[in-house]
Amino acid sequence: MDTVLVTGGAGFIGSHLCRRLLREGWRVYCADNLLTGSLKNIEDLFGQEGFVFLKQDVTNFIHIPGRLEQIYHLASPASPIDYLQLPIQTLKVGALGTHKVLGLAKEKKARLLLASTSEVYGDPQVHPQPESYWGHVNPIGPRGVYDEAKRFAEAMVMAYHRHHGLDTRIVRIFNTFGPGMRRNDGRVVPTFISQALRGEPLTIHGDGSQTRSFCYVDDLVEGLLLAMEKGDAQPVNLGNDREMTILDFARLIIQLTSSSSRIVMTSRPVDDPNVRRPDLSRARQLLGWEPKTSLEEGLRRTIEYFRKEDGQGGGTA
Amino acid sequence: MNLLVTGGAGFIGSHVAEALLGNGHRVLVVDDLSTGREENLPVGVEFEKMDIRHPALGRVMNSFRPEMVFHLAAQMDVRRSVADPSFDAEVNILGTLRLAEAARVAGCRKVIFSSTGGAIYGEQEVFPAPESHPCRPESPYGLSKFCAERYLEYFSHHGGPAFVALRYANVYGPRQNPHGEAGVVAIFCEKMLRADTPVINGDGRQTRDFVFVGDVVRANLLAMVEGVQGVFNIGTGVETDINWLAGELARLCGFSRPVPHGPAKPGEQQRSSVDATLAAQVLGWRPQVSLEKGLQLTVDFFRSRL
Repeated sequence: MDTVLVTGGAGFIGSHLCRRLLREGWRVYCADNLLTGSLKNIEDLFGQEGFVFLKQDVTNFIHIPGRLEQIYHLASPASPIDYLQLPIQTLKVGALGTHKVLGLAKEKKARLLLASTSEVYGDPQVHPQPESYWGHVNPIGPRGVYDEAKRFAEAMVMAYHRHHGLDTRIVRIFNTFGPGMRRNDGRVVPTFISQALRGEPLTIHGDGSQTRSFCYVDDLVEGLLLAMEKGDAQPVNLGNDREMTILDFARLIIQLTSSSSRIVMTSRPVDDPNVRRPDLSRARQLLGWEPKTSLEEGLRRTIEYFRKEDGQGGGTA
Repeated sequence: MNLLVTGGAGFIGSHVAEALLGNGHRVLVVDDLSTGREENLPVGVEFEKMDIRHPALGRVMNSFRPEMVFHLAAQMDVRRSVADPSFDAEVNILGTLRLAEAARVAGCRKVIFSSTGGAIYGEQEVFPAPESHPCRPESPYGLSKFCAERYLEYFSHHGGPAFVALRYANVYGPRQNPHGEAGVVAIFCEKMLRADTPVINGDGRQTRDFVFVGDVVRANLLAMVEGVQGVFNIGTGVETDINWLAGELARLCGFSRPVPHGPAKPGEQQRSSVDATLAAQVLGWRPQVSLEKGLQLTVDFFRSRL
């Protein structure tokens, strides 16, 4: 049985990735310090053969006994409300955490995939964003802690690749959604769905003309596996290129939840990007990857998940 | 070495797991989080969320191959043991039995079992009680712990791991659950710091032997030593009455109101203290943290969590 380490494995994407890797027959070490991740996300994996949970802060030395073939490095607060509240931890995990994980990859001769982010493009001046775009980031803005942590992490991964010949991947993940997101993580999908299910007004920042694209988590996980197997050291975007205004998105959620919620507009946060859409040419060419799940289908499954959560006394319906 | 800590997300277990990690061991915690808490899990620990009675425990142990097991997972609520003795026996007796069988199969060398000095001797004839004191538990909890000890002893004579039982006096310290039935120190701390009113059961002249969790952890570490086997009391031998305790905690918490007395709890033991001379002789263990110091550390912990 080959062994893989997933840092941030109890988080939203990490938990889906662990589940998929176990299904593919991997022995999975899931490391998480549970700062923003939760055991609830991996509840079903305990007791499964080949699954090991490690409560670990990746800014500390990580010990994995025996052989280790691959590392998916996902650990980081990733939601604006988290990294705005945990600015120093976010910078530390991007810098020190990535350094420690690279050290482990070097020692074990393991292939490493860094989960980077579309945030490295900042508020982009180029649209859609290809991997060759260098970005437009305010290094000293409040969101800079996440953007720059990931930019630094990318720089260090490339340095280990060039200097030590480490086998590495960099994946820039665009907005992703699906079951397992935290209701209160501040992102637009869980916020809108929760508001719609409660019949409360959906709050839009600004006039709602800013655009986003949303990738369903199963597609994203498929892309991560393909990038690990078939990718190269150069960054690759993963996301969904169906772009939508936030206003249209709010309307769609109201429709899918059959909610009577209204839409209200509030002020925009600092450095909130205006447009965001991945250029997926490279992912299609290199990996033969394509997001398959329609936005409507993905949302239906996510709404179902939040409904169930409500049913379990998780909130109000 | 590879070490398994059952109940490692609980009050005492998490301190044991943390100390073992600090000594450079690889530590796996098995805990079903029924009373343990995920935030108690120390960083660096491997964790399996599982009831110790689960059939997959054997597989987990075979794959982890612990050299020793620290068995702290238990049904630890005396009142619940009275209300539901079958459940208490299932967890504390059958759970321990399953663990012992799995440990034998996995080639484990030693089981260090967290037992009770406070509930195993019943009303004492001698103060403090040595290990040779008759065991006449007055609760299903005390009975199940006593029985679990005997099973582990039996296995140690029949191809199983060597066995150490540590019979704790009243353990207190940081991370003790202040909302449980037991743990007077934690309960009083929480209430006094929140300016809520704690209640002393009865006249408050009942005594307990309070031992700091850090000292208990050290006893666990010393029990690992090659050749150490058998049953050891872990306590101070000093009786402290609840009135004194309430006064001292009030001072440390800055709680200025008098602490009221409620009705005495029926069946509650009047006096309790254990003699740890054997632990001193064999393990080289002596309590190092005075009650005053330990209470200060505990109050500091609860204050930091307000």
